[in-house]
Amino acid sequence: MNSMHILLHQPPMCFYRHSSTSILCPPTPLARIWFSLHHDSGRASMGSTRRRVLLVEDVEINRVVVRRLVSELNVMLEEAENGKIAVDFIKQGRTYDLIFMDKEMPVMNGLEATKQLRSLGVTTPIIALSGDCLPCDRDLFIHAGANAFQAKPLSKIELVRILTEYGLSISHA
Amino acid sequence: MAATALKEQLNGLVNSMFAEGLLDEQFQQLQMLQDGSNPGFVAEVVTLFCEDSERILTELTKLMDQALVDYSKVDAYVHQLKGSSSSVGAQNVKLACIQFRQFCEENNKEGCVRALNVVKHEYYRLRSKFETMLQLESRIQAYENKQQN
Repeated sequence: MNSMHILLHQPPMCFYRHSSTSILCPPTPLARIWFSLHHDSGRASMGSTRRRVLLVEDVEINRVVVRRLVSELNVMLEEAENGKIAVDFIKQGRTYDLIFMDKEMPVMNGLEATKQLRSLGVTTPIIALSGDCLPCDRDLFIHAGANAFQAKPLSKIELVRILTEYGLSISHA
Repeated sequence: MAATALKEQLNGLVNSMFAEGLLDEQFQQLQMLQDGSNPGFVAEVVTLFCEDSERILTELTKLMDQALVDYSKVDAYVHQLKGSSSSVGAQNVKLACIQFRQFCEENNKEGCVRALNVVKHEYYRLRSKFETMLQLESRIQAYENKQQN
């Protein structure tokens, strides 16, 4: 188990409410390891060939289309309707092999979510998505920590290219 | 065969929608995602688009009727509609939304009212053709099911 695996698995705070101490406290390294061993939900695909991708997108139709695009690929897709939900997923200990991050979303937009994910130590590749391909948007996202910027809507060819580029094995399901 | 004639009618309709600018290549992407394992995919997406669009247009109409328009809310809804129309391949609706957002940015009420009317016009024009398209698909499916049985 490598240190990155341990780092990314942040046990939920409620775990610590049930510990011997009655106050919330940051997880000890031992607690993190215990949590990682016993809580499989949110684990990245260690020993599994099915890669986990997080789609952060507020417009339902866009999620339906991407869901259909990945249905034939060997990829497990999770969805978040806004940036805050995505950040919360990470804080809950979920890990991903790739994140698609929409730009404009309610509650928390993609730029802010990207910044927060990077500040949490998430090194997962983040692909920014936007219907507007303005150079200033691209620069802002890259500066925030995104790895690449892709125009929406996402086609199957582009999706496969991106998944392949970031090392996700695309054998058909 | 009746199914063949219906298919020709359907192809003609869809081709005319492309020719008129109602649809763009993204709709072809959706058609390619429809297959034996997902026979109703296009219908699902089109239906979702129409439901979503009508909800958004209702909200936009209410917002634009206000004495003091909240342009950030208007823009948020137009952004949603632009996104969904882009995903469906609803080209003219998408272009109308782009224009609408520019007026929102300028806080231009008159421009926004005009833009909303254009969006509505393009949407209802598209919806009418989508309804015919889905009816044809449904009839074709019914014929093919009957032949199999």
